Amino acid sequence: MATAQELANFLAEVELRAFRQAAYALHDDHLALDIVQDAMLKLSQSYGLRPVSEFPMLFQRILQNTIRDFYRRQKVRNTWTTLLSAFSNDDDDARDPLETLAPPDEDVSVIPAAQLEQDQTLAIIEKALHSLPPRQREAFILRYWEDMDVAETATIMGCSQGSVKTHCSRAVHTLAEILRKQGLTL
Amino acid sequence: MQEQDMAKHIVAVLKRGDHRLDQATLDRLASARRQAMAALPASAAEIKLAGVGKELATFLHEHRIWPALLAGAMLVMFILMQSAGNREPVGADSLLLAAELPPEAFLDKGFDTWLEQSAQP
Repeated sequence: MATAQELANFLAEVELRAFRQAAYALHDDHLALDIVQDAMLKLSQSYGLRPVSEFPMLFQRILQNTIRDFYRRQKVRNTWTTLLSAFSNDDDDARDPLETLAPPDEDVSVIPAAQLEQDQTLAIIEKALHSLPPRQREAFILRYWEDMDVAETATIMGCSQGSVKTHCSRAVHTLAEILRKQGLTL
Repeated sequence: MQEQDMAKHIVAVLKRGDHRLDQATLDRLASARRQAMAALPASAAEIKLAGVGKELATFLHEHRIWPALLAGAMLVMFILMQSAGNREPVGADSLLLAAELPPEAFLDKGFDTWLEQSAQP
């Protein structure tokens, strides 16, 4: 059984990755923070005294479910919005959600060239990750970022191991293709 | 480049992005962590009870059982109230059976008239 300190250490270790994972999925930092907070609370309230070794799987499962719940709620909300907006003008239908992302506010002139290049590479990869289908992104992050094996990823995603492999493979190929088109070689 | 190597390179670049998070985000994450720690139950029993309650509530909610439960409870209350309203006085049956007159006499419409007439001197 985990101690409070062990849970605190786990949350501190995982929070940044969880936030970025949620941000990639939701395209909104504030929502991502809410989702991570929700997932942390659920882990603590329901599984806080489980063995430490179970935390990564449990937390990822909670996080992914919380993100999916958000998608479901958003889908219902969008249905109503679409229905209601049919009565008003729909000039902004073609708007790309990525365009609403705030531009980086740092002054590029004060960043060293290497740092600037790294940041630009990161921005391109993040944008490519944004553009992946949700299941591919989820599989890619769990498998390669969270370093989970295929079986664990399949359990968290609630699908077969074969599906995980397919999602991961497609994700990597899509990312590689996007990066190649951007002229990026890793 | 192999698929796995490519993925690892991409993730390596992504991991470098952690240092780019602003202080407000880091503060908010720390606050979320503190809230989660404050919500940590004191014992396993507390977790189990909370879990059972939550599971039950989720089951009822997901299967839309709340309206059926409410309707059932109202039906039971209605039946109970009806049966309470129809309950007859406790001694009515025993009085009828113990009376000298047969029960049919009380149902006879002319019995009262006959009783009044025969009671007059």
